[in-house]
Amino acid sequence: MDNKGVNRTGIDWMQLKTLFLTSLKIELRENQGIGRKYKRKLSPLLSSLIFYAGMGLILATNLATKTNPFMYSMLILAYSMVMSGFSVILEFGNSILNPDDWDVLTFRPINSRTYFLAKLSNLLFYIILITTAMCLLPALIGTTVQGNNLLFPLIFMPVCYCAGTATAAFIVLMYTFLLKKINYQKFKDIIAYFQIGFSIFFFLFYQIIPRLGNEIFIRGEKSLQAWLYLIPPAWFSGIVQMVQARAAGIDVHLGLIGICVTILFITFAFNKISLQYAGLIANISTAVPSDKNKNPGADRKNIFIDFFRSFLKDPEKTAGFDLTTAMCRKDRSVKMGIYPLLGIPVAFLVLAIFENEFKDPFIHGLFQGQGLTMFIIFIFMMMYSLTMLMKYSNDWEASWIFHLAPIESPGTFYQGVKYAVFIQYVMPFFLLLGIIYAVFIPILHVLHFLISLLIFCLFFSAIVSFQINSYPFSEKRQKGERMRRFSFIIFVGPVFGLYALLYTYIFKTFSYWVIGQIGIIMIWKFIENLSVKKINKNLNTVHAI
Amino acid sequence: MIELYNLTRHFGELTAVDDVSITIPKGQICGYLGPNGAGKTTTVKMLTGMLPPSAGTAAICDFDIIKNPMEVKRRIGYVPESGALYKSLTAFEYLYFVGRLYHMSEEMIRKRIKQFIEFFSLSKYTHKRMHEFSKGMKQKVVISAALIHNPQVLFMDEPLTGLDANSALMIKQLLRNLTREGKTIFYCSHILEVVENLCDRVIIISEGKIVADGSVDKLKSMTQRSSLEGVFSRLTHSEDMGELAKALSRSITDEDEE
Repeated sequence: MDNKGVNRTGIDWMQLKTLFLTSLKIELRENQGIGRKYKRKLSPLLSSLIFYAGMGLILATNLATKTNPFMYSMLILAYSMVMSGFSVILEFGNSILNPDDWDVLTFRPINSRTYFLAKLSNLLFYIILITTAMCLLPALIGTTVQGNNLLFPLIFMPVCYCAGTATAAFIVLMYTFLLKKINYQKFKDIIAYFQIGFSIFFFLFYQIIPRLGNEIFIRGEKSLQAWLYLIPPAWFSGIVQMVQARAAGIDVHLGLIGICVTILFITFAFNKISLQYAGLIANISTAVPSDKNKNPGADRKNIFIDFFRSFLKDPEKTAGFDLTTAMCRKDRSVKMGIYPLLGIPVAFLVLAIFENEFKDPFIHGLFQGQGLTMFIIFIFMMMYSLTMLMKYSNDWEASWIFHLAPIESPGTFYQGVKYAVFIQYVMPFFLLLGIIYAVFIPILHVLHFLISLLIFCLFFSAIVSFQINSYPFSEKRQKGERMRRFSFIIFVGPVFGLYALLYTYIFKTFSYWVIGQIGIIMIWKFIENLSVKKINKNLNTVHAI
Repeated sequence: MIELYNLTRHFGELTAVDDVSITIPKGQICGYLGPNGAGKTTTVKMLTGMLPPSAGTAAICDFDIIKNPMEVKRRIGYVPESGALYKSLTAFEYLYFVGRLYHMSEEMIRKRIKQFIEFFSLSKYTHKRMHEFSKGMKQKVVISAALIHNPQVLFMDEPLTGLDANSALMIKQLLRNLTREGKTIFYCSHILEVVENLCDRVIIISEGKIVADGSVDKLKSMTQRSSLEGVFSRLTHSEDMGELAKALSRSITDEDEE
């Protein structure tokens, strides 16, 4: 009970070590899963890491023979920074601003700086894990890139860690800056939308960087070189070239920017934010809604949702639908969990507009370009991902009600959940696509195209329902879970090939199109019934919590 | 030992604690009562440094809660109403973690953990993760965590929640002994019977303001009521509760019959 652990910088090392190690112990244990049903599976974090390593390997082997050392480092760093940034937004960023341990720690003698550093160390631990998974294999493969030597991994990996740290620090600084300016309740409202912006920014950037690199380094467009100053992975690639003593001109400038930015972010985070951190968390945990925000969404009537709801006759289906729409509107933890995903299709849509990919799919075929193809894949996958994400909520402990209430068919209840997801989050994307398409092609073709997409999306959602094994909003979020879903989305992309195949053969004439749609609707209904039975079986055997 | 000077806390337009001034001397066990939303927990959260006051201040062991929060926190123990703890840890790991936050030596932590574990009959569960614990077992760990560093002042918000009759009795006895040894206890509860038996002094708060302060006997004679329950109902304007309950139960039954 003395001050011996506190040094001149205001950090209590004993407390820092205790807080950091305990937080890791808690999180890793929770990630292993508490109940029986997780034990047979890989933990979400581990499966995400395996996915990152696989993607890194594919990317590196693809790039190794086609690029120069600068572009190779830049593209791997772009992948690493985008995925680190996205995982901070999706999984880890909230933990630094999470007042969950408020009741346990706030009345203990822990100063603001130590508390902040413990949280930051926890975040950096995951960033180092993710970066290692993503960059280790590319670092080794990088030795085969013409111009790199055997020391490349030893130089590249520390730079990757710096880049990951700078990305995480950037997001944390943005979050804390926003929190200082606005009330936490308002912050939670806007942060959900802010996350969409972040994910659009990251994914758009990730699409632009290889294109720019191609123009500059493969086609030799030197006039575009100045754009590299705006690209953070180029700064860090500059550092790699500098340390390899091969940098000249712009590489040195870029490298120096990278070094300065990293030092600036870390110093700023440590000096400014750390001192105010405890106060910031105090504001978070004690914030009260302003009159306007006291009951978010309470007085908003959504005619669109009410219209679709009127078609639901089954009371259990309606209950699932109502619960999901209410939770998505009012539970900010649910919003913050799903909104970052909404930015990805928007990023691809923006890319499709820039690359002028909107041509009549009935004449020019389905695959117009990468942007549009990825957009369509992602709205299908979003249906899957969001449906699965609906099982998480901060209020998961309230799910005892499902085990107590006389729900006859959990599968029917879950149909309501799926329809709510479909109408709230997936339909608007279809409408957006339709509006943009209507500018370029006849409206009748737009309608045909959209209807076929909608029906296939429902068919797809029936297939993925077989994976549902818990009630909505009934599980605690685990680190890595959302990234695991995201990884799964990328790997199951080939399912989309089925749609493309149908599209090519069935939709050539109007009569074929009608027969095709009726056929898919019949198969969808059949699979949907099977999935309801499967969910009933899964959820009726779940033991009470 | 605990001094509150015009302590006030606003939440937006609501004044949760309104200009509260109290002095609680060393070795006293003071019951802090009030209806739901009266401002009890808010007062405790301000005193434990979890919430900054909107106005006024307080001192604990002569340290100002605003100017010297770390010195205050080193000297207090707190049993929160939520009973929050890290359920993924074992009871031993959690208590060890808390001990380290107070810079206790490893030897001392182990010794204290052993004492608490034996006192609360948790020996069989010491190395089991706490998500397997019952509510009462978790509460025993929370109380142990509040006492492990031997604080001079204890803040307890509904400390007997979930405890069986024997455990509750043991805790009450422990608290009496602690006050005899000079500890000061600020005890918030809704269980009036416990407060009546345990506390030297009772403070009743309603809508953020102190409405009564004194020994149980003094409050009874002041309000001309024979029990603390009567005193509480009188001072918090809840004497017509019986009629309201009767009306509601009649209404529910009638609606169902229709």
